[in-house]
Amino acid sequence: MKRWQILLCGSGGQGLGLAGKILATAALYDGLYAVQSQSYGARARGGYSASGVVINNRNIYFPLIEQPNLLLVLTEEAYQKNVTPGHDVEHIIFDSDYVPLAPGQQKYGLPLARWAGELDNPKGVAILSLGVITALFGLVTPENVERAIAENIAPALLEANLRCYRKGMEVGGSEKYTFSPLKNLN
Amino acid sequence: MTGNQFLQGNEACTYGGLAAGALFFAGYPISPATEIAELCSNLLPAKGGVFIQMEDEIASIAAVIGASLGGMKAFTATSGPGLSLMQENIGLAIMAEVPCVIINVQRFGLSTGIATQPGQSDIMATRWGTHGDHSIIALAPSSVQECFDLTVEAFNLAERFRTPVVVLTDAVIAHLRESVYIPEQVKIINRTRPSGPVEGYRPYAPGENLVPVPPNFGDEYILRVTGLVHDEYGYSSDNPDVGGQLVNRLIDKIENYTRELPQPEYTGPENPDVIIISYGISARSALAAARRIRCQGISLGVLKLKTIWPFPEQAVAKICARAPRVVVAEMNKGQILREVKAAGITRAIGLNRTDTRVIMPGEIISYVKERCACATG
Repeated sequence: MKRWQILLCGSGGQGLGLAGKILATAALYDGLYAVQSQSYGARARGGYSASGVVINNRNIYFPLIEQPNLLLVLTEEAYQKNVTPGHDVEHIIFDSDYVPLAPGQQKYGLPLARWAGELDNPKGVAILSLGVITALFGLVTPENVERAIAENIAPALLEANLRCYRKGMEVGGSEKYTFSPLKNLN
Repeated sequence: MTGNQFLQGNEACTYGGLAAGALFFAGYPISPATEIAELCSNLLPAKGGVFIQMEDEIASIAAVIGASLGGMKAFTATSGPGLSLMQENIGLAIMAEVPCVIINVQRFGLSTGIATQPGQSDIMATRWGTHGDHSIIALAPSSVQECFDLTVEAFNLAERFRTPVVVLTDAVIAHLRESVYIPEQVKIINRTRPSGPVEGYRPYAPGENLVPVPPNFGDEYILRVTGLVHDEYGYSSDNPDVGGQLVNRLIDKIENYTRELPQPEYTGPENPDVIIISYGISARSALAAARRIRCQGISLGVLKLKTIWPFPEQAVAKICARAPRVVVAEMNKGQILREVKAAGITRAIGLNRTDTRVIMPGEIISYVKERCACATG
C-alpha cells in the first residue's frame, strides 16, 4: 500500500475536522495505521480550514501532509491554497458549484454542498464527500466508516449524516459519473 | 478511559493529568490549548474534582497554587500569551515549593502572534520567564502518546521535587490525532507528608535529596507561604546566608538529579555522519528524514529530547561525540542550539524556521545534503 496523504480542505464549519477523524478511525478499524491533523484560522466559522489524514499499512513516522495525493476541495480559497502550478495532485475531488477548475483537468467535480443541502443536511457536505472518497478509492471499508460515523455523531443527527454518506457512496460508485477507471488505483 | 484510543494531543494531556491524580484545573481558554480546559470541565466534576474558568491566566495559576497548597494535584493549560501572564506566580510556586503542572501549547510568534498556528519559540520564556536565579523542569512530547506519558511524568516530577513542571507541546501536536495506549494504571508519585512533633516543625527544612516536606494548608502543622526569602520555618529573612542557601537549594534539588528526568532518545546507527537534535513536532520530521535518507548513502541519527529543562547537557554531549556533524532542528531562531553549543558541541548548526510552517522531512534531507556534505565525503 502506498502512503495515502489525504487533505480535506474548505471553510471553517464544514465539518472537515470531524470527517478527517472519521476517515482515520475507519482506517484504524480496518487494521491500518492512520493519523489526522487539523489546521484552521482563529474564526469559529468561515475562513480556510483543512484536515489531513495519513493512512498507511506501516508505522507513520511523520504525521502531516507533505504533498497530498488525494485532495478534497470545497471552496475556491482552498483550491488556490492547495493546487499550485508544478505540484500536480493525483486525485482532486471538488465542489463544482464553488471551485472553478480550468477545463480539461483530470479532476472530479460534483455539486457536493448542493446535494447535502437537498438532503436537508448542509453541514453533512464533508460526510457526503467521505462517501464519494470511500466508493472511489476503496481506502477503507464502508462498514467501518459507518461505524466511525455512529461513534462520532450525536444520535439525533446520525440519520441525516448517514443519508449524506450513503448518497456519496452511491455517486462514487455510479458509472453515471464515469469514475470507474479510478477504482483500481490503490 | 483506558486501552487503545484515537486522541488529540490536548486530550491525551488531559487524560494524562487525570491518570496522575489531578483533581483541580483552573484556566482561561486560549488557542491552541482550549480543548484541555474544555475536557477538564467535562471530566473533573464527575470525578469529584474542580474545574474553574478564571478571569485570566494570572488568576488561573494563582488558583492552581492555592489548590496545590491545600493538598490537591492541580494544573492549568495555556499558550504563549498566557505563559507570559503566569510568570510572576510561577516564580512564587518555585520559591514556595508548590507542586503544579502548566501545559503550554506553543503557538506562533511573540505577543499574541498567530493564535492557531504552531511554534516552538517559548523555550527560553519557559526557562527564564520568571525573574531571579532558579531551576525549572520542562518536558516536550513529540507524539500524542508522549502527551499522555509525559503529562503523567510531569505530575510525578512536580510532586517529587515540589516545584512547577511545564509540559511544552505545540499547536500541531495538540491538534494531531494518533493512536494512544492508556494503561489501566500508571506509576504515580504522591507528595510525602510531614510526621513527628508539631512543635518546632520546620516546613522548609531540606529533607531527602534537598526537598522539604511541607504540610497542606489546614493540617495541624503550620505552613507559612511567602515569595520572600524565608528560613526553614517559613519566616521571611534578609539574612545573606539564608538567601544564598535557599536559592542554591532550590536549584540543586533539581539540577543534582537531572539524570533521573526523562532522557533524550537516540535512534540511528552507532556512528552516523550527522546527528539531528530535535523535539516536539520537529523531531517527527527528523525521524522520517533519517529513514528516507538511508538509501541515499548518508547515515543520519536522531536525538529526540524529552526533557528540555534542565537541558540534558551531559547526555547530549555524550551521544553527539559519535558524529562529526550535529544539526539542531527547531521552529525558532535557535533557542536550543545555544544550549547545545553551551554543552560543548560548538560545531552544531541550526536548521531554523520561524513562519508557522513545520520543518518538513524533505527540508531536513536537503539541509543535511547541502550543509553536511564534507562529513559524507
